[in-house]
Amino acid sequence: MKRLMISFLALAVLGFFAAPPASAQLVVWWNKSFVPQQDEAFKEIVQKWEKKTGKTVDLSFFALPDHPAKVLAAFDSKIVPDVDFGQIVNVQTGTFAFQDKLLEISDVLNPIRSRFTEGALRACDFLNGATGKRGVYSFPIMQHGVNIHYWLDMLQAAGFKESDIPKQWKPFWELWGEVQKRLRAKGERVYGLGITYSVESTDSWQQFYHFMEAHRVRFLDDNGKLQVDDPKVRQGIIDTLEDFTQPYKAKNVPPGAISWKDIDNNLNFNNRQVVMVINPTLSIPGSFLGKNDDYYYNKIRTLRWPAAPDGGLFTLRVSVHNGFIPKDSKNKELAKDFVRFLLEPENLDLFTKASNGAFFPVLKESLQDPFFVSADPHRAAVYKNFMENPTRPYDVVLNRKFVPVETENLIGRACGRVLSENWTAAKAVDEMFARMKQLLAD
Amino acid sequence: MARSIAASRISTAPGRFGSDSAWGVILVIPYIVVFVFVVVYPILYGLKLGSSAESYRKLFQDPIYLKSAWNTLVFLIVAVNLKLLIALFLSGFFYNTEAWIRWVGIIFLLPWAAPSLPSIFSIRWMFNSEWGMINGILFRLFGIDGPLWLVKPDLAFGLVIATHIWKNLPFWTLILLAGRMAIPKDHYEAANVDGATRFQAFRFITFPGIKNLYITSTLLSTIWSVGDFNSVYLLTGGGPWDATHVLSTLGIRYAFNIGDIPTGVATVITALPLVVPIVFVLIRRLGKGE
Repeated sequence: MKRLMISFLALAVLGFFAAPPASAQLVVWWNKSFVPQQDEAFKEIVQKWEKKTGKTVDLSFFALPDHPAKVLAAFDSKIVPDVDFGQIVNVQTGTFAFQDKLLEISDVLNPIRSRFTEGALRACDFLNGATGKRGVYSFPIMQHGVNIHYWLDMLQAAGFKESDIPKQWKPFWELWGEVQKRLRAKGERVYGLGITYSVESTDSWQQFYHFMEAHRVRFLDDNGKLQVDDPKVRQGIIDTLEDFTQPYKAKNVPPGAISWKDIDNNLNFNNRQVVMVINPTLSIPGSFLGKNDDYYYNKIRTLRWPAAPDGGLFTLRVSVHNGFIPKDSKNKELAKDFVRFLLEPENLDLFTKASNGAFFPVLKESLQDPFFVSADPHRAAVYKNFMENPTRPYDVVLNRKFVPVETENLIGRACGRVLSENWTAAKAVDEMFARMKQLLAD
Repeated sequence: MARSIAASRISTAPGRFGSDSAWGVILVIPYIVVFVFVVVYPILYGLKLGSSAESYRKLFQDPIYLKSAWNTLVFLIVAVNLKLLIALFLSGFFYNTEAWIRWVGIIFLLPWAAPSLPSIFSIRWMFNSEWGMINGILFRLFGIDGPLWLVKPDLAFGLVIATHIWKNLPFWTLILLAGRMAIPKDHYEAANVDGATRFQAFRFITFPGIKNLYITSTLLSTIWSVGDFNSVYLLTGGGPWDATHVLSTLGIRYAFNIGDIPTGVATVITALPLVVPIVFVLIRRLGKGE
């Protein structure tokens, strides 16, 4: 009996320490899409790879906000997936590469570089702090810009036609205030514009970057060097902040926009609380496709950006969503094989299209595909934005030290200083620059 | 006879299956293993992560840190004391034995029993400035837009405190109610015979009877409230503009939003000078049987 008890305890202790049975040969962590069909498309790609290679994949989907914590904890514990893709994690990819946490995969990407757009490739190239060399540390999946949508029926209810929407910068933004005024006169509790000013949302800084580009000003030059000590840059950003916050000051934006999370501008627009909204990706109209086609095809419109205040086209910022293979992956070669398979045009195309076109392709050949070019009114507007305006990646791609500027959301904080604490734009910008320099010095 | 046979069997057990002390050691091993892996290791690992001076330099440079430390202090002082004070009075109400009060008691317990995520999200949606229920009613009744509940930092932080109280009040009311019920009823009967008023009965019988429990509850609630992440994170997310962060949410912001785990741990460690003395006082009080 004594022996039996001791054996039982020994087994229990051994069981505690024993590793789980190794069933899957490749561990893949993937961002759960807003569109269920996109998850299904990815599962289909995984199954095809499993069938082709005879290997198995342990696939886990993580919700957008949960994914970064999971990845950071994985790097910390060194128990990492073999392949990872996450939209929010993307902002940190440069930091991970610098910290020598990612596998250099130029042998995967270089032979097929000609397939991808230049911007997509640029967003995969990072500096490794341990080796001091730049390299390919991620692979491109899809990309998106920032789009403008409006409710056509609400515009018409205010007495305007589509053709009344100005193409010039200032009149364009003023129109929505006028629409609000007329709709409110009819007893509707609505706001003209859905612009995000909060710290909690990534939308706020993505929108602000477009206003900066329209004002012909940037934080970093092409080499990733901070240029905020240039008086012209400082003045340009002060002007941008004043311009960006003006609709809120004029009470043409819902007051809650200063504490919106990423989903809140979608909700306000979908609830017809705002007439127009600025939002990355086509997720807003996409949420109605197949559920309310009248809204998708007839009532919601996607616009091209107006001309810059000086009358010319301005550069649009593009966010490339890329995946990576952690350096501590236990199946590096298998992971590379999976990535090569995923980057085959038919697979990547399947995955991108399954987002209901919410994302724009990174494959050059897809840029000729009618699916993106002309088959759909929303995608056609995005296509024109991408193809007719110059594009540029966000600053984290140019300088990985810029990551905390965006994760702390200094732009959202500057908006708060102006809108909540009545600071002048100049004072808020100076505070933002001081913190920016502090963060970049670390 | 049967009992004595059983007793004699039990008394022979150590001889057949080993000594009592050996069994004691064997049976405590699983607990020690779990304790080491679930308590000791995470604490030591956390201290290691938060041991870099660089993390503290970064932390103290960040203007949000001081604001969050101040918020934590205000949160603890206001929320804990207000909650315990209301619980003290409500425990007097629920001390009554009428049937309808018992029914009210059941409803009163619901916020405590309900999961935090849906209940706090519901509050957040109710107080949404544009399409929340509260401001919707105000607009319908009076044609006004209503207060910017989660937009103005002071109002938002006030709502955070109110949510914390709403969620935890039932538990502390129950604790203090149990304390009241432990006071012998004849004390009140004697006071009644002597013509004591309700206030005098509370002052000279109830409060001395539950004073130690009240103080212990306050200390315990303070320790728990330092780590109250849900009330802030789910309601305001630390916003607007990071103005309602407390140290627990700021730590998460550093660790997972910014991706700097050491600074996140360091943030939480800076709350230790506040928590450790309270734990020390609490343990001493419990040791004295207070």
